[in-house]
Amino acid sequence: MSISRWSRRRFLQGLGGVSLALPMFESLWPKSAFAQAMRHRFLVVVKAGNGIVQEGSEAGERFWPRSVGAITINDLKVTNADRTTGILGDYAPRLLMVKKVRLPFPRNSCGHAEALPQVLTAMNHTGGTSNSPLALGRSVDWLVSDKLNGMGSAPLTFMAGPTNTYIGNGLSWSAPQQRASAERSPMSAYMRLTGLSSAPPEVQQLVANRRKSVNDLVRAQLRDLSSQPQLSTKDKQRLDQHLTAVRDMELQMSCDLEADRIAAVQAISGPEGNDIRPEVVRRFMDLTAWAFNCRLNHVATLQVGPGNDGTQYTINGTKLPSFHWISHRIYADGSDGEAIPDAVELHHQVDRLQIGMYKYLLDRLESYASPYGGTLLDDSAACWTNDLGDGPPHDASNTPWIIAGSAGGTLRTGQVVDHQKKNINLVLNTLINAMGIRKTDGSQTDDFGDATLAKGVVANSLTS
Amino acid sequence: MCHLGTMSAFMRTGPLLLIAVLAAGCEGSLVGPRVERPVDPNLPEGAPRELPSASSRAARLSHVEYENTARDFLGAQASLGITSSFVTDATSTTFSNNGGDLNVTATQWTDYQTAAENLARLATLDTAALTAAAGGTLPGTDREIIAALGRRAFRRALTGDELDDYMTLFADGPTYYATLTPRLAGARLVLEAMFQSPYFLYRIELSTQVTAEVIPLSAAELATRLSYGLWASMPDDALLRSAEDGTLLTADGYTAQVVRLLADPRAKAATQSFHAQLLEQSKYADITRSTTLFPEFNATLRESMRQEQVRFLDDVLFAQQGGLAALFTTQSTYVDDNLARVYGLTGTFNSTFQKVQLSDGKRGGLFTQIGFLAAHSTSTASDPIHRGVFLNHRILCAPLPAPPNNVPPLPSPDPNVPKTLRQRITEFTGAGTCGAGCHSTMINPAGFAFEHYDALGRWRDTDNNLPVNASDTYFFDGTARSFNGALELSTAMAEEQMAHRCYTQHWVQFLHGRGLGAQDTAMVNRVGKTSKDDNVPVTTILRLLVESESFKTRPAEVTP
Repeated sequence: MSISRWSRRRFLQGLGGVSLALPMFESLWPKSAFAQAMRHRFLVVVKAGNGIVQEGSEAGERFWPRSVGAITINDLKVTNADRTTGILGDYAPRLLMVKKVRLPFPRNSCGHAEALPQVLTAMNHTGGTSNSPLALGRSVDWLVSDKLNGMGSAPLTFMAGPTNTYIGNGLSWSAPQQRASAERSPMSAYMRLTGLSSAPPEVQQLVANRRKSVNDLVRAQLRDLSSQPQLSTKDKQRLDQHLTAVRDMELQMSCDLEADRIAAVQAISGPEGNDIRPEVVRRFMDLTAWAFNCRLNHVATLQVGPGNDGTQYTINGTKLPSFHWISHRIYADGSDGEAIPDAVELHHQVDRLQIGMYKYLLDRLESYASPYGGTLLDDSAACWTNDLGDGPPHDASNTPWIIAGSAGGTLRTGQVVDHQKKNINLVLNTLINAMGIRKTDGSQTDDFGDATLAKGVVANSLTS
Repeated sequence: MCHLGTMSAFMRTGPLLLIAVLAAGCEGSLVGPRVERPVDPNLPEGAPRELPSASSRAARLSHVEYENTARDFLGAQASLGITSSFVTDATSTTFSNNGGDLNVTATQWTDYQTAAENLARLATLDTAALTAAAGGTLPGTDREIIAALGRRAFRRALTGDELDDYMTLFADGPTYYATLTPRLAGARLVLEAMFQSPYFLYRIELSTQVTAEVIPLSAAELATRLSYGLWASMPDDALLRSAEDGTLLTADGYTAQVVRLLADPRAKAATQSFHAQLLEQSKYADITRSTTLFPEFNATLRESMRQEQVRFLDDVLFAQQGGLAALFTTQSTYVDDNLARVYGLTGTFNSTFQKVQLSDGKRGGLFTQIGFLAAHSTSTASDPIHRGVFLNHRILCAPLPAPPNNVPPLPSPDPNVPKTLRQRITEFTGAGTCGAGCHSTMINPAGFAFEHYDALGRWRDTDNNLPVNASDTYFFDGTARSFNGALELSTAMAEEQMAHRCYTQHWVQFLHGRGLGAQDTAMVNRVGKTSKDDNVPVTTILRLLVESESFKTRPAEVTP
């Protein structure tokens, strides 16, 4: 038994043990065994609604950079500062922006309700006149969760929005026609993720401390054993995998959300309320980044607002009309109504708010160090999309996708790609490959979604 | 920790053991002391040595082994069911105890953590529980208690550093378990750590000293290999003592332990586990039949099938001390009222199993029992192809290649031309067809022998209103043997080296907890021949295998 091991345990206990943040762990922890084991990758998709202000609508282009191809920080922050995506300037080299992604299946009734089930499934829906048609396939977050979290594990499914609404949550599908229930309360989500239940916090703390003491010893034994020269390579690999499992477990139980963010989660009252929506979005983003960092989950989706987002966002101190009305340019959810002055500008402002919230997610992922070098964002594919292309006429052949992070170097970032109204399944195939999920013969996954759709991935999107 | 008993034995042993024990000291070491090359007492004089095959130095316990170890550590009378919620191991081998292929994933680790905490709780419910966990006697000092617990958890004496580590942990116990006495609290925390230690979860073999081209296992490593081989569980106190005082490393001392272990009920359970896996007993639970076609079927029949096999094995292997031939040909079995109906037995039967003689010449041995026949059938018909494949693979270890891809299904019968299933299969796979290579001489003959038994294992004389033909010829190691029916095939198998070699080969894998190695061939051939020629009991086969040099050593070359 080395002295340093026990010294560290006592050191941690002296500092309060479990509430220590991860960077402290990373600096103290020899990472060779973990780093050599299977690489962790993470997928998060944030979806807004009601379309964006972009080329092809009456409003003209106000979202995308002025040119496709390679982008730099300067391109976004200076040349395209007036465009919505200019907000993401600092992340330009780590962005893969995909314009004009088509949702291929009919939207004969309500455009929102029939687009939403397609976004992550690339499948048709049950249709009809209902305002909540069901997807006919499982969504990509569940497929990836099976691979990265373990078979049968559920991805995180969040929604910032009300329970009772015309079109509810519908981004995540655990199976054909089985809509995954979205968690709407950040506090409930936090409680669930930490396993906190009725036990008082001090009891939870005691359990965490006790397990940490045990794990310190077990981990040291595994490391000592694995270093025995007479072990075969296969035995060492198996022990390293075991060590990784212990390490992941310890991260999970010891790596708590920062105190100020816990307080922010606890401070939310009435999480389904209109005025608190951006705050709820940010708290879910806090939880997503923290859960990824602690290996509590590898996959998350976050739906911002209901299917036809009627949130009245407050921008620059002014509470706007319903975002859905703005997207229709009239004071109505239908096609008849009094025009909203400056509706295009207001829509653009909401777009900027949405992308600003997305940038908050990237900032959170960027704040955690990766054991592989770089940050958690580098290990992730952090996506933002909208299930419609624009306001009027709610086109769905030109939906936007922005992917940040390279998922461990698998995505070719620093570029804007015109998808030329090819189908959504190609984007989802790109994400599946980015997560390291290939076909059994090792070739690229190209067949997610409806079997009638042309197979493939987004052009030039993968590094291998 | 030095027990007087240990010292007494120490004084009785010879100079070699004196060196060994001194090297180990009262506290243990991870690497065993140098020992002499163990000699196989059963190897004929002048016969070439049988060297060991490569195996993992860190073989993870299977769930069965974990469950048994937990039971025995706590001194419980029955299994605790603590592994019932464990994530299932993804094994592809015949037996689940191929420890070199078993991993610990994050999910498995969570299971281990929870199980460890539960086991530690049970072991420290009170002083009596802790005493049992310590091996029946609770030493006087905390350090001695830790040593006693560690000796049983790690199957060896703890090193001085390990004792220090656990003493530190022990002192923290009251912080986390304030309602327990300090001693119980400390022991509970220590046990939580021990049950999650790799030295508990894996069978570790770190010895490196090469002696006469092999690495003899240390006494503690040998005790562990022996107990997990014969019991699928941890060594008991007597075995640990024999390792500690060195008698296990003597020929007589080792044989005495082998005989003792084989006579223990745990050896019966392990032998049952071996046969349950070999014979795919778990399939019995999935058997379903239409009660219109098979009115004898009901849901409780599945367990009756399993019970029949279990009771038959216990009787033949242990009560009768039978050999492999007896397993194949004994014309008695155990039935309840469920099975009696399927067998068509006359008499009075109820839910209590009773031994019956099957003297009508239609049944005998394992392969005419209802469970085997029903599990290797389709839901409506006998399944000669899969019955034949099973016998070739599992019972004869015949070199059967994998089936080609996209094997077309058997064509539907022509209602205008009545044929038996055998006739249809022969036309589709027999001589002159593309499947002739494997089917006509290997798969089909073995499967056709069972055509007198339908999809539930009932006897039949006709198939599709045509007479059953259960005669054929099988080539055992190239020698043709003709037979008529399953009983004659079973008898032929019992008389041929091929099945004895195959059975021995399976036992080598099970006892070692690894796959078959290239060096195993000579030992498999020798013991298989003894099994056939001398018709030795199966327990003797086990004894011959664990007394081999191969079992007590590791190969000298470094495993890459």
